[in-house]
Amino acid sequence: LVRDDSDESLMLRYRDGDVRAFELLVTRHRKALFNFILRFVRDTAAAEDVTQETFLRLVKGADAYERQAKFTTWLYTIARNLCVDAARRGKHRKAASLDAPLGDEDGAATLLDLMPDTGAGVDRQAQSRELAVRLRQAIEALPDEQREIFLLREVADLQFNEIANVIGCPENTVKSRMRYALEKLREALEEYRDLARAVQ
Amino acid sequence: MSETTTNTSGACELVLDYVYGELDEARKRTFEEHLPTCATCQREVASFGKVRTAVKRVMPAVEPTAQIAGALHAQLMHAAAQRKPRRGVLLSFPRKIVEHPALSAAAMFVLVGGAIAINWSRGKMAMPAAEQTVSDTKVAEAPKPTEAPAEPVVPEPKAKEEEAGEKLGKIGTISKGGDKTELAKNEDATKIALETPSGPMTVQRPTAHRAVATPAPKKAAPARMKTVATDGKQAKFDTAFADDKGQAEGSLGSVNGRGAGTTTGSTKGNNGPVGGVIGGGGQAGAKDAPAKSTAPADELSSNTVAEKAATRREEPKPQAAKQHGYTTSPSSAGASATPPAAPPPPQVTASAPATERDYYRSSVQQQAQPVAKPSANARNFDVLQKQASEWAKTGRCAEAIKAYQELTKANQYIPPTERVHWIHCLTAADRQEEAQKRLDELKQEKRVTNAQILDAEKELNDSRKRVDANKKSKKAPAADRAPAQSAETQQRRAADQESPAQAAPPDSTNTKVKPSSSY
Repeated sequence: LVRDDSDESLMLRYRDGDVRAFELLVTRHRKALFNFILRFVRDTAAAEDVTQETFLRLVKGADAYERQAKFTTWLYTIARNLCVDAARRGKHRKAASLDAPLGDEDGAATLLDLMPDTGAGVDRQAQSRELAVRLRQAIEALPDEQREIFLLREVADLQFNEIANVIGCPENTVKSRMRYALEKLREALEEYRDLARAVQ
Repeated sequence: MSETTTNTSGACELVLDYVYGELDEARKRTFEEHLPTCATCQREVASFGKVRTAVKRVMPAVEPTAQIAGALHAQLMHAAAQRKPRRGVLLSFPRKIVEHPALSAAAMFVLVGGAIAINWSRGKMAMPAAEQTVSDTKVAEAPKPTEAPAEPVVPEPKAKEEEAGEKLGKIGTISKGGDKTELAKNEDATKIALETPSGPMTVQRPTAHRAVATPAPKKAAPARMKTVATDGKQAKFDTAFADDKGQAEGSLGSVNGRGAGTTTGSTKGNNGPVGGVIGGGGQAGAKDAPAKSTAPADELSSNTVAEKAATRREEPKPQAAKQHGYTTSPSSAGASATPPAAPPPPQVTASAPATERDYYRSSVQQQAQPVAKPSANARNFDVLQKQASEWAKTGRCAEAIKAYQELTKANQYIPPTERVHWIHCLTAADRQEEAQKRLDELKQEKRVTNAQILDAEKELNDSRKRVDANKKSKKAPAADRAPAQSAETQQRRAADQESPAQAAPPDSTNTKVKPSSSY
């Protein structure tokens, strides 16, 4: 009955006391939200906390909800703000990096190398793993304002106008930042291709 | 890093939207028309597409952890269920105030303070003026006509014997409750002072009555007797109290006299329980007869009945019977086996009764009044007030003034209209100062119309002018008139001595004073 309803109507129904509508909203957005937060804060435990806190903020703010903007805009605005706060706190926290070498030597294995991988061929797996490492490094190297837009667009799948509403800047600025982010990632991919060609 | 794009063409701006599929059909068609012609756009579309594909490969969507899907989800749903549904927006602010203790206290302070300030500004909390307090006190001191004690039916001197007998029950009933308090307050219990319109009268109180009149310690009445008192006119006596009742009523019978007892002693109960018991009806008479006495309920005090019964028990009944020479008839119930004691004939300072019938009649009349003294006085004052009003209207101002003065001395309430009559009489009697004083009082009270006040003032001024003119005219022939006036004064004094009851004030004559035309 309520699965075909829009996010906004579900939220309005929850505002009027329908808990099932809220549960459906959580189920609908939980995965994407958790991924966005996980990419943003780069920590699973922190991502869980921020996800839970984001939905609790929805519960607290349900009385004030008005059908003026998209529900996802409101949801990711809350999540983004919480992520920014968590990122500020995380700067003072030592987090284990998947790409950092475990030993002091340069050729030491990383944490990602120790993780099991159920892929195809060894060469192919090695290339993919290298590509993923390079790409993750490139994404993490993005400036914060570009990275958050990139994540909102690629992971959360928000449109540019919605991203503009979430972060509170003009849509052209969002597109411009997105363009720069994509160009940086393309450069990182081209370097990897050049390296791969040289190896082959 | 500069964020400006290198593309100058408008269509080149749509590369990102085209890559992410955010263009509508028209703009998409426009861009697709532009794309084959622009190498930059072609390169960007291709590169951005590759980046997106690579990102999706290295950044697959991660399933939420079991923690989020399990415990955290349950916790979240619990929190969502705990939220109360949204209520009215209009009441949200008052609700916040009520739910917050500090805001509630502040709101109460503001409300109470505001109410006090408003009342203070309107003067409701200001102290009343001194004059107003004085006038209020006067009004409060004046007895209200409606609060006057209930009036018993005082036997008229010319009433028939049957009527007198019928009244006896009422009088006797009144005496049950009325005598105790008043007689106890009276300093001289052996004499009773009466105020009648014709003048004061003193009556010797009978000895038996005096014994009743002595203040006795009050005794709590039984509960059943209290029901009698509350019933008022329809007094129902319990058979268990037949003895007490018979004796108590016997005492009343002794007050009322033998003739009354014999004439009213029937079970019809026309005279109330008193007559029934006296006449030998005893228990049946008291039990069956509904008391048709017109006495008010409060005077049928159960305490009084019980006390009288107790008093009668202590008295030697045979002695009382011997004292008055009664021969009693045996009562069927035995409650009134002993005859009630009758009082000795009262010593009335007025004329003595000639026959036995007149003796009993006079004794009934004279004794009924002292027992019901307060009510009789109140009635007398009412009669006096009516007479004063009639006298004032008929021009008998001297008598009216005297009556009004008596009422004033007795602290009796005189209605404003009557006081206007009084002022007219004072004016007619050339007592301008007193009239002016009364008029000022009337003005202050503001309980009569302005027309009445103006009328009285005009009459008063005319009277003053007339008096002044008379004085001026009298100054010249004063020496000639002096002997004649002295002779006239002597004659008037002699006349006053002959009829003291009709004595008039020195400045007024006994002749009727013609009221003014306006009056």
